[in-house]
Amino acid sequence: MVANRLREINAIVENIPGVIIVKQFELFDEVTKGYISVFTEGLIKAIEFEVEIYSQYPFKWHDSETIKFINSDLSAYKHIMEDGSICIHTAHSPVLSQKLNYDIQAVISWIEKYYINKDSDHHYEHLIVPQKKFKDTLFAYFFNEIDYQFSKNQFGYLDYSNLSQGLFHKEKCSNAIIQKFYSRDRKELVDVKWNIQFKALEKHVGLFIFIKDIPSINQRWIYAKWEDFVDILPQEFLNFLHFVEDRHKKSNGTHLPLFIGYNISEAEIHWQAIMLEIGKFPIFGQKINQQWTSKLHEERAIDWAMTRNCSYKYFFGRGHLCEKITQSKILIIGIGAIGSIVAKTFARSGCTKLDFVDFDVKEPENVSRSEYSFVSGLNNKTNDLINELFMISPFFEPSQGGYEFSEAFNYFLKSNLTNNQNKSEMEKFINSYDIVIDCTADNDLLYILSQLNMTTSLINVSISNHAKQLVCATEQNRYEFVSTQFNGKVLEFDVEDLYNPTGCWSPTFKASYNDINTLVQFALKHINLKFKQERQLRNFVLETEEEGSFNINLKEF
Amino acid sequence: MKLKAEKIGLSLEIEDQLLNNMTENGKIYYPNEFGGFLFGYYTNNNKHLIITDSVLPIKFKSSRYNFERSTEGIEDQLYKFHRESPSKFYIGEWHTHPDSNAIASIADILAMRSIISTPNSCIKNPVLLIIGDSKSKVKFSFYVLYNYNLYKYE
Amino acid sequence: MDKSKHLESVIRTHQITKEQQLLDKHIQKKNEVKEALEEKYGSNIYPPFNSGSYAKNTAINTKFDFDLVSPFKRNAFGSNGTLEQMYNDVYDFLYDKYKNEAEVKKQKVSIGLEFYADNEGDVIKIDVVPGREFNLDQYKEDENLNLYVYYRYGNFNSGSERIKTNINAQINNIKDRATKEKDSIRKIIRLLKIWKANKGNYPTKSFFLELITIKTFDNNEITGSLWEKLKTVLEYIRDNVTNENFKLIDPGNSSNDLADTLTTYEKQQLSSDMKNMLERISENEENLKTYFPENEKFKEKESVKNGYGANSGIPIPPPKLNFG
Repeated sequence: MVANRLREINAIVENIPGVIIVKQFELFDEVTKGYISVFTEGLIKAIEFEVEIYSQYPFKWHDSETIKFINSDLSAYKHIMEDGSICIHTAHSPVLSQKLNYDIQAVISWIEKYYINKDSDHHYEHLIVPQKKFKDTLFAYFFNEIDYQFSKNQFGYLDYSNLSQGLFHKEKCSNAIIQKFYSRDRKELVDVKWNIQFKALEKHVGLFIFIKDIPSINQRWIYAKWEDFVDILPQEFLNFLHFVEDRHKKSNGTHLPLFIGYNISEAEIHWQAIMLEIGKFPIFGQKINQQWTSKLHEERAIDWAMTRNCSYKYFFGRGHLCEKITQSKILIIGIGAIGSIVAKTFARSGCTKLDFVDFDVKEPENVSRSEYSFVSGLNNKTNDLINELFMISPFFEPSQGGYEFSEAFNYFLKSNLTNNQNKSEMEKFINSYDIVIDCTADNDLLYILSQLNMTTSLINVSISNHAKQLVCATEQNRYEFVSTQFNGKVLEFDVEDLYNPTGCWSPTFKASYNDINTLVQFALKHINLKFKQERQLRNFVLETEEEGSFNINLKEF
Repeated sequence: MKLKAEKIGLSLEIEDQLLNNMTENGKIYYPNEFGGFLFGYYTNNNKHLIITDSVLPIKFKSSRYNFERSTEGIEDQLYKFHRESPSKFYIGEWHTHPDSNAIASIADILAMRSIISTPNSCIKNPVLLIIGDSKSKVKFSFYVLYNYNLYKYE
Repeated sequence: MDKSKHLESVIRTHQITKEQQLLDKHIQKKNEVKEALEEKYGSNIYPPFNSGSYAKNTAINTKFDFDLVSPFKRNAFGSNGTLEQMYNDVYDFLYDKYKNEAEVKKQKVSIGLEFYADNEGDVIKIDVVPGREFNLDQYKEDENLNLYVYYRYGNFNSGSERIKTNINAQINNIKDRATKEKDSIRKIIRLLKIWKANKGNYPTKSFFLELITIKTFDNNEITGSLWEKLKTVLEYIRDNVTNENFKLIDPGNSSNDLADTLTTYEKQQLSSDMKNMLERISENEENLKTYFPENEKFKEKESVKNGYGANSGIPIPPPKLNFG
């Protein structure tokens, strides 16, 4: 078998045009290694690569190709990995010969694009930072966009807070967020925005310096040793380091992150973190002209940590609802199965201003088909959901919420309809939201809301038993529309087979998380599309079909 | 007592004695639910209902939160009441909510709807009486089914 | 369900006379505003008159619209006076006079007066439409007026355009039809207005719906029940409104095309609303109630006539009933 594979690899590679095997492929500890030289038009001389083929080949492993083309002389070029290998991602093929052809084609394309034509991609690529443990742990720091203009070589203190301990493959990983920047004399410069739960975390001291220019020699690799910083870091800053270390000498041995800031575009700052240890700062004192001066330990390696830009545009960069929704202030009334799914979908899709009303307490049996977790036990749904969303989105900012707000809301709405002045107060309150979603299935509420003069987009969502239909009312006649749909003569659904756990005071409809979520997501997609197209959102019904295969029919009114 | 469902312009009346009897009958089965059939007749161009009698079921199942009566033996009663003057007939149902309020549950609404969908029931607007019996006080709520919805008499 | 019976009930429960008190308040207020205008402008104004749905007998009681047309003389605002001056002058006058008791708003071609709710909670709305005769003293002969377009609607640009129209000709457009046809036309116009009122802030003007209904009657053999007639109109709107050469000529001014009051997108929306409505009603006629609801306020008192459901035979309780 093994011998066959080796023979096959050698034969295939040999037959690829422009490729010469310099050293035959052989097996070393389950890795097939060989040397090839690749020539293509535009090159003066062929380029040699050491090729490593792993046993999984032609399949991928952990999202990486299981073949490497290495030439450490190429490290200054784009798309070269730390070990000097070319970063390639090619089409899938289970056939060895085909996959080898794809991969070598990719190498040739790389040579043409980045070696010969020296193309630089339009998007900025982050510097390559070697991932190293500091002591026995990896450190990761998350930062956000700030509304502040640093001047070159401005330095000072910052606060960070630990978020959590994770595992990064097999290593411990400590995660933290940057909270606030201070000047060198500890005046507050700028606060970093996160949700209030994160803002309330315990703060620790770190340092920063904004060096403006990218800390790299070839724009690819971040500086490796402190000597690279000799001409960059101003003497004042080295003195500051010495001062800080001296002041913290009681905490000898503890770590203190130093953040290096630089512009990756005119408007965007990137931060890299260096792990410093109190007592072992990379500086020493030298007497020059009778004066002690701090100098860098040039030969020492820099302990880079990981950083991630978690600003809104990257956090929601992979996909979000349309801006008309994400920029809206949203109120969700009723956060049972439907409401909590809507809330979580919004929070994950870029919405930040979300308030909830519900005076129910979450029970363990709610967990199976809503967005709540078992771990928080009996807990007001509002408080519980707010916590869930705090954990998901660093940008979630509820303005009102919690149980007492819900009680007050319900009382306010239901007891004031007959009084004209209070009615206008209610209208003012409701209209302070851009979107209000009513998921209560409470006909009283539906009626009351339909009596108000509203400028806000009010959307009422309800589901029939067995999640056979979803009814979404969006227009002024919402009360009549929903009443007509559910009056027993329009929608056909089972009204007998309700879930009756311990009595029948509040039987609930039967449906699973999957049943409900399928319809809710479909509805949200439709709503999002209408908002995006700036079209009128009409009342609609989603009808499901289960004969044969499952189908959802959208019926607009 | 006399009550009115203002919105739909229907009214009813019932003797306090009859209400007390039903309440007492209900207490026998406390803490479980209990109930029965209501009989009476319409007057004033069918706008006003006079409830005259309650008939208890011979067979029933009940729990704290549930009451299911059968119609065994009811036929004789139907004819008996029909022969009286004025002629009386089946007009609705009653049951108790022990230790609880006198508000119709979803199951109650569904039960009322199923009366009108039963081919022989012949009544279009069945009445529902719920006796909410808690230690401190007894509450009565009368409802009528109209256009698939329950309306409360006040 | 008998669809036509339901529609008749919809019209009945929306009859303006059902809100006699509110109607009286409107008429009274309209007269007040009319007198104020006459007092202010004296010989520069011809008698203002009501041109709204009440005048056309197509009013509904959920949304009162009283349009008070105010015909000014050609030189009322100086011999070089502009339509804009006229519009602003009337606005300033009304604003000063009513700012403490009403919201005074500049609207498309009118000035809206929305009086704050009185102690019975009633809100009175009157739209004043200033217009100017073409030439001095010509109004008495031809009743033609120029209107000022305050802000853009449909394809009319704000400020720049003026609409010439003969409002009395518009009013007579329906009045002049044969009685039987006139009744059907009015019924359908009322139904469409009820539908529109239900949609909230719908861009299509009532006048547009009036004209398109009349146009359907002009172009089709309209027979059958009320529902069948309505359906024909709905289908006509669905099929025609988005056509490129579709026109709705203002009977008050043949160069005024009401089709221009809607944008292309608004026409598409109107057509697709008609399409959805027809589909939903044909799937389930109950859905008719969603589009054309009875006015609850007057519905249930009427249905009281029925009383408790009539019995035929001895009522028998269903064998098994389960209560909670």
